[in-house]
Amino acid sequence: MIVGSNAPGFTASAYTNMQVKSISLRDYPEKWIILFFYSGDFSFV
Amino acid sequence: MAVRYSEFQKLNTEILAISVDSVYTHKVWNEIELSNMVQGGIPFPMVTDENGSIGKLYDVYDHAKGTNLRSTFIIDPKGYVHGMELLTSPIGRSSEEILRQLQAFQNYTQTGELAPCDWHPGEKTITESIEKPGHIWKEWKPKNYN
Repeated sequence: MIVGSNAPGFTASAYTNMQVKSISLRDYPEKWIILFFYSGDFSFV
Repeated sequence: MAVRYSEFQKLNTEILAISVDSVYTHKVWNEIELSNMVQGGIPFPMVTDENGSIGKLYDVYDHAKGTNLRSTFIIDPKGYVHGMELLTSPIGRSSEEILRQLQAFQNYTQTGELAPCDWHPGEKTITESIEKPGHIWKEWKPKNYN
């Protein structure tokens, strides 16, 4: 249960703006983040 | 989430979608399907969690299926997790409800005001006070209260 504590940090590859980019939670120090997990592509989310 | 992205952006919020699929699968799904549902395709990063390691960190990894469960985390700029929702696969999440919760948490962190049941932006909030318990009914009632 991580609600009420700090979000675990991670760095991973992402597809964004037609490019592959390394993304980290730390890349957004000024922003709120909606992090949403889903089971898999070609499903609804 | 994608069609309401501009509303999230106005709230100083970035969206990160994440599944165990590779960036190549994300790319193809976006190109052949999602871009037919959302003009210009998905406007936010589609993150890959290929061995489920991030899902395990967030405790939403389904070991039996090898995929992550449908879940949504609301994280503030300091990295604090204000809320999460977890659903089984038949039901899709509500961008409406996520926007509502996000605005309630943002309002709370800015003003300290509490958002009572069914609160929506612009509606009455509750000021926290030791005087309040037992007296809330004088200033607030449920929406369908007769």
